[in-house]
Amino acid sequence: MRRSSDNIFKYVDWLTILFYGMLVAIGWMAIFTANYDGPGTPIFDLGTAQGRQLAWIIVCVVFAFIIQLFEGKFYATYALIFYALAMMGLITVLVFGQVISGSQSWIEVGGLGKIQPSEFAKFATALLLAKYLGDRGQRTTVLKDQITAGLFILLPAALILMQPDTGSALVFTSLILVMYREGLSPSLLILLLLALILAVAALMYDPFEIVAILSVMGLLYVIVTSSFDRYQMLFYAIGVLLAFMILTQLQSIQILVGFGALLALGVVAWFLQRKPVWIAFSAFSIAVLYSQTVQYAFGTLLKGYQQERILVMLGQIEDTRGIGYNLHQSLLAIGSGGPWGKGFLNGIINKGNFVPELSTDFIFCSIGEEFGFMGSVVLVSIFVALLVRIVQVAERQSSSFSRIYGYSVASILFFHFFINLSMTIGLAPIIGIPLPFISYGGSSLMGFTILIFIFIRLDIDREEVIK
Amino acid sequence: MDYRPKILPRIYVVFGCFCLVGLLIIFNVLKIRFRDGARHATLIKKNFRIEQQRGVRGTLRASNGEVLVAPTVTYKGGIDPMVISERDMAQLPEACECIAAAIGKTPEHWQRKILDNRERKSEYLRLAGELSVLQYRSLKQCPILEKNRNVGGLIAIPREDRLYLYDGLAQVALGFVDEGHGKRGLEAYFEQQLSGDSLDVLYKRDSHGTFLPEDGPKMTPEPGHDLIVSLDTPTQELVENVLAKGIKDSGAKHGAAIVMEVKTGKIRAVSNLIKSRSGEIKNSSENFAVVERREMGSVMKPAAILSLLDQGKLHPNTEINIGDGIQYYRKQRFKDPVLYHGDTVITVARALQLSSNVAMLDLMTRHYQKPEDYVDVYLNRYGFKRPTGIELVGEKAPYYAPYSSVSLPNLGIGYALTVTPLQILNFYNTVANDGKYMKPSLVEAIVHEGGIIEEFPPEVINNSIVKHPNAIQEMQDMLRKVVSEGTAKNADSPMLDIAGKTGTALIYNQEEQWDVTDHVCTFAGYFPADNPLYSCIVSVYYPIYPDDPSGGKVAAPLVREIAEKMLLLHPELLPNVESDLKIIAESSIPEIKTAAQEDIMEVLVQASIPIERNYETEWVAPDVEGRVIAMKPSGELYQGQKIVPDVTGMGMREAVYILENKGLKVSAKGTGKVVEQFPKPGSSFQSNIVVNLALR
Repeated sequence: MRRSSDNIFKYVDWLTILFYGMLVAIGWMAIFTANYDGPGTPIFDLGTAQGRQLAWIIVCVVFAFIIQLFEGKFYATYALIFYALAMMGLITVLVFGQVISGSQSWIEVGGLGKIQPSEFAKFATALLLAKYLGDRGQRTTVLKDQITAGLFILLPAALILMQPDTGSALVFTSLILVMYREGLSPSLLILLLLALILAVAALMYDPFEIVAILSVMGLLYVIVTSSFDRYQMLFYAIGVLLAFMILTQLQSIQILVGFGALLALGVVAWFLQRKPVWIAFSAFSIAVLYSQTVQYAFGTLLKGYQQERILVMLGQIEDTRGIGYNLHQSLLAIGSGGPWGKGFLNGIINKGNFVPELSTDFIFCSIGEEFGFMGSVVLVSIFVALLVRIVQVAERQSSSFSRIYGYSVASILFFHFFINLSMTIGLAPIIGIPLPFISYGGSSLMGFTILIFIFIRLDIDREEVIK
Repeated sequence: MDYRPKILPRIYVVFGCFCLVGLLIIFNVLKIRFRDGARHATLIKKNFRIEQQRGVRGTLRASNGEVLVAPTVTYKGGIDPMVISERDMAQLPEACECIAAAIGKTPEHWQRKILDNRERKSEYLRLAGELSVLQYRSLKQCPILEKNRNVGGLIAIPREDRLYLYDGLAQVALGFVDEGHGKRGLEAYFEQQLSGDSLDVLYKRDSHGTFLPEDGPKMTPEPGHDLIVSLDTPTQELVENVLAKGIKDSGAKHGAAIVMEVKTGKIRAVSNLIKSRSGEIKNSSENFAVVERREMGSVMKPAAILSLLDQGKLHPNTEINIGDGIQYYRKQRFKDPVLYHGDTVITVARALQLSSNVAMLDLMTRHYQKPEDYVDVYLNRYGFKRPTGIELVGEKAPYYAPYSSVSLPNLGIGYALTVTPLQILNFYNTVANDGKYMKPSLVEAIVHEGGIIEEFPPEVINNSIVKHPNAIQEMQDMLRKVVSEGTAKNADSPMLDIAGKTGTALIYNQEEQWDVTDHVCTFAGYFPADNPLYSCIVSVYYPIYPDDPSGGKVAAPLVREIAEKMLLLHPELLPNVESDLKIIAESSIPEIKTAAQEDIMEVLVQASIPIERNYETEWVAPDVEGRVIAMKPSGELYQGQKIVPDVTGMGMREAVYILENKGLKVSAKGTGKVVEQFPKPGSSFQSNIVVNLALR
C-alpha cells in the first residue's frame, strides 16, 4: 500500500510518459517542418503554428503536473461533475460557438484563443463510464446497465454530431471496446464489424457481388460458432479467405462464383447438421436486405460531400483536384518518401503546402515524406507500444474504476490513431480527426494530455480501491 | 479473481486489435511505397521543381540621390478558371469588369474567355505576358482574383530586370546583372548586400506543362539593400562626354577618367570608354581605371622627387646638370622630351616642368643605392605596393619588373613598374590632401527601406605620407608650375588653377621593344591648386593625333575641360565666390519638376530664388524664364483638351489620378516618383491610349 508520505514519483509509470513525450516531440517537429519557411523560420513566434504549439506543450506540461496534485479518488468522486461540465460545454458551443469550415465546434475564450469543447468531452465521458461501470462491479452483462452506459456515451456523441462534427462523434463509438472488456457479448462487436464491412461492400460492389460476399460471410459465421476443433477451424477459415479473395478479384465471373458460393453454403450447412440450415439462410436474407438499405441510406441521408469522401476513399471515383486532392497529395508524399525519407525539412509536398490540413489531420504525410517508411514504422510502433502499455497498466489496477478508465483512454487513442492514419493513407474516409499528440491544435493536445495524465494519477493509487 | 480466465481472452483480443491495426497501417504504407513509390517519385520529379526565388535586388543610387540602376518587376499573369467555385462565379461580371479596367479589352471578352476555358476544362488562362506593378496591384484587388490561386486567384510569376536610368552611365563601374547575379563592378562587389533573400519556392506543373509557383506567404522574400554610390551623376555625365570626345579626337583605342573628392577619397566620376570597330565610343566592359595596369611614365616622377624632398636630399631649387638632354646609363639611353631649352643646368622644379628624364637619372642614381631603398619605403608609403582596396572586383595590384641594374633610374621615370590609373590618382589625391592618404571609395552607404545599414565614412589610411610637411608644400608648388609653365600648359585654365603632371609612356610591344608609335597619355592632377577639392586623372591609350601624342597634348586639355565644366556644377570650386555671384545665379537655378505649388514655393523661398506666382493651382510645372521661375499649372492646364498632361515628378497615386481623370490608361514601371512618361507631356491624343510611366 502506498503511504501518502511516499514519494509519488516512485509510482509514476514513466514508460507511458516516455511514449507521450516522444510523440509530442515528433509532433512538434512535424508541425515545424510543415510550416517551415526556410532558414530563419521562427520557433517561438506565437504568430506561427510551431510557436503556438510549443506554447501549448508548455501549458500541457504544467497541467500534467497539476493533475497529479489531486488524489485518484477526486476524479472518481467528481466524475459526474466533469461530465456535466463537458456536456454544458457542448451545449454552449451549439449556441455560441464559432463556425469554422462548416462546423460549429469552437468557443472563443477571452485571452486563450479558441477552444474545442469536444476534445474535453472525451475524458469526462471516460471518467463517468468508469465510475458507472466500476460501481456496478461485474454487472456489465446486465442489459439495463449496458443501455445506461450506452446512453452516457451517446449523449456527447449526439451533441457533437449536431455541430456537425461526424469524426469526433464517431470517436465515442470506440468505447464499445471498453464495454467488451467489461463483459459485453462479443456478438455485438462481431455484428457491428459485419455491419460495417457489409455497408462498405454495399457501396463498392453491385448486388450480385454482395450476394457472393454475404454467402462467404455466412459461411464464416457458421464455422466460427460451430464447435470444430482448432485444425478444422483453421482449415475452413483459410478456405473462406481464399474464396473471398477469388471473389473480389475475379469480377468477370462474379455471378457464377456468387451462386457457387451460395451452393457451397448450403452444402456446408447440410454437412454440419448441428447448426440448422435456416440460421445461415435467414442471416443471409437479413444481410441482403441490410445492404440494400445501406445503399438507399447512403444516397438519401448523407450530404453530397460526405458521399463524395466515402466514394473517393473506396476508390469508386477518381478525383485528384477536388475532394480527393488531399488524399492524392498525401499518398504522393508518403509514397515518394522512400525507405529513409527525404530528410528533415526537405519534403517537397511539405514545402508546397499542397496538403491543406497538413499540420492537423494530415500531419502523418510530413513524417512519411521526410522520414520515409522507417519513420512511419517508428511512429506506428510508438503508438502501438503506448496503447499496449496503457492496457497493461489498466490490468494491474485494484479498482474497476481505474481499469475501466484506462481502457477508455486506450480505446479513444486507438480510434484516433487508427482512423487518422487510415484516412491519411486512404483506408478510411476523411472524417477529420486529429492524430493524438502529433497534430497541431491546442484543444486536442490538451484533451489528450488530460486524458492520459489522469490515468497516470490513478495508476499511482493503483493499490487503493477507488470508487 | 474468478472472472480472470473468462476475461483473459478478451484482453488478448484487445492487444491483438492494437497490433493488427499497427501492422495494417505499416503494411499499407509499404504498399503505397512499393506499388506507387517509384511512380510517385517520378511524378514529383516531373511535376514539381524547386526554384530559388530572390527578393527584389537593391537599387543603386548616386550620391546626389538620383537613381542609377533600379529593379523593375513585371509579372506573367493568369488564372485557373477551373477552380473558381460556383459561388464565386456569381462575381464573375464584376471580376471581368475589374480585369478589363486593369489590363484592357472589354469585360465581355474576359467573361467569354473564362467561360470558354471552363468549358474546355483548361486549367490556365493567360491574362497578360507582361504586367506592370500597377497592373498587377489592380488585378490583385479584383474579385475572385484577390483569392488564393487554387480557388481562382491570380497566378503571377515575377520577372526581375534592371532598369538603367542613365543609359550606360559609369556602366562597368556599376556592373551589371546576369541571371540574378551581379557581374563586374559594384553589382558584383556588393552582390550579397544587393541581392534579396532567396527562398526555395516550389513550382508545380499545371496541366499545360507550365511550371507555376505555389502561392502563399513564402512568395515574398526580403528585398535586397540599396547602395548609395559616391558617383555624382552630373559630374559623371560630363566626365564621360569629355573623355569620349578626347578619345574620338585623338583616335585612341580606349581611355579612362576618374574624379575623386580630395578630402574624402570618394570617387565622384569614373569612366571607362572604348572605341568599337565601327568607330563608335562606348562603355567598355573592362574597368580600365582599376585593371589596366601599365608603365605610366612621367606621372610617376613626382613620387621620386617627393621621396627625395622628404629625406631632405634636395629642394626645389637644387640644381642638376642635364647636359644636352641625352645620357647613357648602363647602355640604356635616357633622353629628355625637349632637347634644347637654353640651359644645361636646371633646378629640380624646372626639371619636373620639362619632365627631364636625364635629371631623374641623375637624382635616382645619386641618392639611392638600390631599388629596394626607394620602393620598399617610399613607393610603399605612397600606395604603389598594393591595390587601393576600392570596392570593385578584380582590382590589380602594382607589378614590379624584376630588378636590374637600370631599375633605379627607370623607376624614377615611371617604368619597370606597372600601375593602374586609380593608383596614380590616389597618389596625386594624397599630395593634394596635404599628405593625408585616403582610401578611394565608390560607396557612401548601404541602406534598406530608408534606414542606414552600413555607412562608408572617409577612411584615412595614412595621416601623412611624409615626415616633413614642407615636402608636400614644395611638391604642390612644383605641380602647379608644371601646369602654368611646363609640359601641362594645355591644362592651364583662366577660370581656375589646376596642378598636376603629365605622363607619356611608351607601350612595350610583344618583342619587348618600346614601340615608339604606341603611347599611354596621362594627366593626373587636382584643382583648385591652392585649395584642392577634386583630383582627376585622364589616361588615353594608343592615341594617334595630334602628331607625336603626349600627356600634355592629349590628356591635359581633357582634365582642364573637366575642371572647367565642373565649375558650373560645383560653385565651391570658384576661387572667389563673391565676385562671381552672377555665374552662380545663372548656373545654379535648380531644375524643378512638376510638384505641388506649396512645396515648390517653400523650397524656393528658402533658397531666395525669385518666383512668379501666376496660377492658383495645386500642381504646377515650374519653368525657368531668365532668372525667375514661373509657375505654370500642370494637368489642369490641359483640362478639356485632348493633350497628355505632365505628371513627371509626381508619385504614382497622383499621376494615376490625373491621367485617369483625362480618361487615359496608365502602365507604370518602378516605384517612387515619375521620371519619364510616354507619350510625352503635351502631345495630343485621339482615343484612349496607355501612358507609360517610369518611376524611381
